[in-house]
Amino acid sequence: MHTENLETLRKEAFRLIQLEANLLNEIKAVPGLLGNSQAESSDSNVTIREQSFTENVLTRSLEVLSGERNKLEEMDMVIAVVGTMKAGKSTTINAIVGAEVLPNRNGAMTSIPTLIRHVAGKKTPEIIFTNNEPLNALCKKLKKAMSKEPEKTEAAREKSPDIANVIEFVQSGEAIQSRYTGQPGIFKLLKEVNDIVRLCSSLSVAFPFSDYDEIHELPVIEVEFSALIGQEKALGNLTLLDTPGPNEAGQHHLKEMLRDQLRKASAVIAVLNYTQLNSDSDEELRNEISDIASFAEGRLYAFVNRIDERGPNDPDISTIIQIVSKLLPESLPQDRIYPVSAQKAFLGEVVQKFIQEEGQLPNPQAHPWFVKFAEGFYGSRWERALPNAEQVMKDAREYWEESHFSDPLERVIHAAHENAAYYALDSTASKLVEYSERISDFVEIRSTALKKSADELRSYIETLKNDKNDINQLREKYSDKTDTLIKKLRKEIRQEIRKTIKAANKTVDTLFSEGVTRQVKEEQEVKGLSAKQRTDSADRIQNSSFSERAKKTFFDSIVPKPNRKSPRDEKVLDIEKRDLEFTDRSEAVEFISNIEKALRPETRTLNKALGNAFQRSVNVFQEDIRNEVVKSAEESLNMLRNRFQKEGFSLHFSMPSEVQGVNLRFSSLSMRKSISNETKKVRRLKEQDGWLGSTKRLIGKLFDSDMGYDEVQKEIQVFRLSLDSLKTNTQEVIEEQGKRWSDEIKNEVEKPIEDTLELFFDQLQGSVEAVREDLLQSIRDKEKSKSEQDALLKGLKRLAKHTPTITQDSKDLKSDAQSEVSERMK
Amino acid sequence: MSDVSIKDALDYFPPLKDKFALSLVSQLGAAKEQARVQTENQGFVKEMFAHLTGSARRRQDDINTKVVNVLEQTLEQVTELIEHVTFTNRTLGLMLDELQNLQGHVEVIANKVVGIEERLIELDLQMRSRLAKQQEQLDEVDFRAQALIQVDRVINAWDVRPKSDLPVMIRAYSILEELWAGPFGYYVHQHKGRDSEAFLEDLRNRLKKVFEQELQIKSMVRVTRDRWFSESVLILQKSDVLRDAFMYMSDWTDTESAPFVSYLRGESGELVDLVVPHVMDAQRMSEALLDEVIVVRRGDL
Repeated sequence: MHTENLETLRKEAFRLIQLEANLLNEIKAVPGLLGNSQAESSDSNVTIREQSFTENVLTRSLEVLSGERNKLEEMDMVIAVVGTMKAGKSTTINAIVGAEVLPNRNGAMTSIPTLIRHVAGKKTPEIIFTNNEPLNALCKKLKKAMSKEPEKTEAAREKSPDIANVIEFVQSGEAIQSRYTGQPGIFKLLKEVNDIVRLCSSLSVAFPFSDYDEIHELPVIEVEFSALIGQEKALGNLTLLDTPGPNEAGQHHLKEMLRDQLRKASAVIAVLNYTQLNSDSDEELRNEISDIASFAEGRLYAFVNRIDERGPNDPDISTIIQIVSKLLPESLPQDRIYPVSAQKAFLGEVVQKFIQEEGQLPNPQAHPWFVKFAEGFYGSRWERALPNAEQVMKDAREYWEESHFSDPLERVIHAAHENAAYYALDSTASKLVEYSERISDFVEIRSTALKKSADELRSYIETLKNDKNDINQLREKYSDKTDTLIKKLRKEIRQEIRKTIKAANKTVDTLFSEGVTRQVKEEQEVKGLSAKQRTDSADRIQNSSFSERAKKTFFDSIVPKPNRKSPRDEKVLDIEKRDLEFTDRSEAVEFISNIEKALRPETRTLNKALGNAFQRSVNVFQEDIRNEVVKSAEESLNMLRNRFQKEGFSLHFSMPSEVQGVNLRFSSLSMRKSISNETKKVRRLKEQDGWLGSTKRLIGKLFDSDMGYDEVQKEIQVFRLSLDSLKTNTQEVIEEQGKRWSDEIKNEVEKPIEDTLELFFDQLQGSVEAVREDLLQSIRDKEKSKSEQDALLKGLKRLAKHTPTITQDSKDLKSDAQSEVSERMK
Repeated sequence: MSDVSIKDALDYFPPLKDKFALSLVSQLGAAKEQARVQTENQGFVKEMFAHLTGSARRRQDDINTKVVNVLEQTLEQVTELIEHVTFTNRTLGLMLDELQNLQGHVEVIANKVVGIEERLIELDLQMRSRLAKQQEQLDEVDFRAQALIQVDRVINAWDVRPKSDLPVMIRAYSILEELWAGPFGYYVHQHKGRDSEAFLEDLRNRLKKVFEQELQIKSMVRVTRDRWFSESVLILQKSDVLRDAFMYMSDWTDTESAPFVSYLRGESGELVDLVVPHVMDAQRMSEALLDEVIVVRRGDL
């Protein structure tokens, strides 16, 4: 029913676009109806600025309508795919496409997002990168930087063979082309772009992210998607957006663009890794999904990938869905969570496609994916078990079915199509309503004004000044109100930050003192043990098994025991000192990461409190201020309308758009800069040589003294953590988070509200201004001959005939589209 | 529905006979027009003529006699129908107008029909006399009340046979034609103003309600163009008599002034396709039909 409904509404939109375009063209054809911009009236007191319709406005309006028609015809829909590299995002995309268009490699591959577009009939994939110039300019810059800093270049070269290759590429002076055909070309370009980003980081050269922060600036892979072969064109143009997600490290430059794209996307697929559902990295992704869910409401789908790696004792599929559902935001219902195996789907699809197109089995040497399929389906001795092409085709089909990919793919594409269509319809209907009301007002003013005297018209124009003043006053009033709202929100944030810092410091105090106590205790224990025992103890700590560690208490787990590699060579006896010292950086990092973990409840509380404050403010704007603004403006306009109604004019005025609110979350805490790296002089005991030394040590052991040792001073590297630095760092980190919230408030609340109000009042003032200008033009109409006026009136009557029904039908279309959009948001 | 008789057609479209009487009178004005109607609408018009007059089929070549008979028959019908206030008020006036028109063209007819001039004068006198007599009666009638009664009667007959046999669009068209031809049409035509607008508004609302009941849709729920029209279009394709009756009844339409009725007539040209929405609610449909069948015809749009 929905599809049928959708097609009917689309046809209706096309009909209305055509009718409005006809009306606009008819306006052009009515003699004397269009005024010129900036035309002078013979009335010396008035200058005509911009009327409702001039040649330029008509041309622009016709272009807009034509654009709306194209949007509806083309039905561009974007499905954003979000996930970490380990989750199998690339494989998921390859499975949807039915071809290996994105490489699977261990490193991150999405430094800049890539689009993958379905082009019917395009069997060989091609990457189109028209915006290659900024990258080529960057390569030249990198080449210069490399020649200036050969040492840094060498260090980078040694980091990885990939970087070494890209260095060669940059040094060769070869340019990145705007088009590469076939899989090797695509892989080459994507790899080069990603490695260049990494090289930039190594050489401290800024990557021109701002040149890649618009969707049309990104590389596009064009290829026929297997899933869409044979589908009707009416299904629309499907494009996948390969994105790492808005919060992934290194993507801050692109965050705004990605968020914007996720907001606009017809559907968003978040790829989770089944085998890592409880891991820290997946927790980050889950947080990110919560973010995404807030601005892709009703359009988010979760693919729980690698379900084929489920063990025999693992829960069944429906239980997995329930478990995942609890981990994900409430706004993501269970019927949008799909356990899948992207790998099976991809392999099953690609093998079938190959056999179908080539009529034979793929060559395992040339197509490694065939080996993967064969190993997966027939086992390690697949070469012996491999049947003929016909049977392999059937097996590949079975493999595909086992992937559980078919249903979600169909549902997501179908939903994306409907979402895209209804959003496009909503946008088109808004334009249609706006234009039809404008045409209607224009025709109404000009035809009614013809029956009035010039003096009457002048008096109406005079009264409009008051309306403009009223609107200005409203603008100022609500600008002040929103300022107050934002200030209040910022104050709340500051208070919450202070509260959190206090709570976090308390946690840090506790953990730090636990750490110090433990370290001192360790030292005391070390001191109390014989050298042999000390060594054993250290070894025991080093070699404790996982199960033994698991039995440790919470604090045991978050405060690792200092690793003394050579305890008998070093004595740290200052019990009162408040710093924690680690001889190994990884220990310090582990300690910090445990503190970070322990601080998570505080940051979560903060996050929740700030999220609530944020949402409260957005709600106050959306539900109170916005309604108040609309109501006040409506009252002013009603007065204007009624005044004009009494004089025989029947006018419309439309209200402006809405503000989007989003929920925000912190990215993970990072307090590693609390670790100071320094050298310190330590007293070490060196065994005295010879039998005398041995004897002394034996006696010393009996009396617990350092007899038989020489004291030497030695400089060693230590990794120090002081409570002060930890607290300072905690505060900085939380304040930094506060700053990020503050930035988000600026971008997500303050600016949209300001823009919305600005647009609202500009439109309002524009409408009043247009009425004024139309009346001024009407004064010129009065200067025309009787026959000219008659011709004008006749033309206006013709125009007036269809405008009411077009306006009504456009409003009805908008209402239908909006209710479908809201239905999808539920 | 395929075995619709002329009697059924006249039941479905009561104003058919008014239209027929009027067109007969107007046909007298031009022999060409008569010939056209007789050839183009031959079957249905002849049968209706035969049904109305009760006479057997006339010889094709006896035009003079036929015309005279038509005049006589029309006069008989008018005489018979004149007793109904709702009919004569509009139809008589219009027929007399036509008859007066004829006086100017009498030479054309006189060449064909011997003694027609005298017969026409006689007819004119008879009609004037009848109209004057009727007018006296009409003056005493409260047109407003008659109009209200007619709306009630017509709307109440919506789901009663024979009207209830018809699919929604043909039925709606039929009742609007009936109203237009009756006291309601006369009232809203002759007494334009607030009261008349209120009548039309009330009719729109009542029509909207019967549409909603008929299609079982809630207020403001839009349904597809097909759901509104397809059953009617299909029945018109299946039943020749019904189609002829409907086409004859609605031959006043043109695609620009009556796109909805034109769509029902199967004239789905570019203009019609553009003006008739692909999806609409009962309100929109009742407004469109009422505008086409009544408001446009009274010269408002």
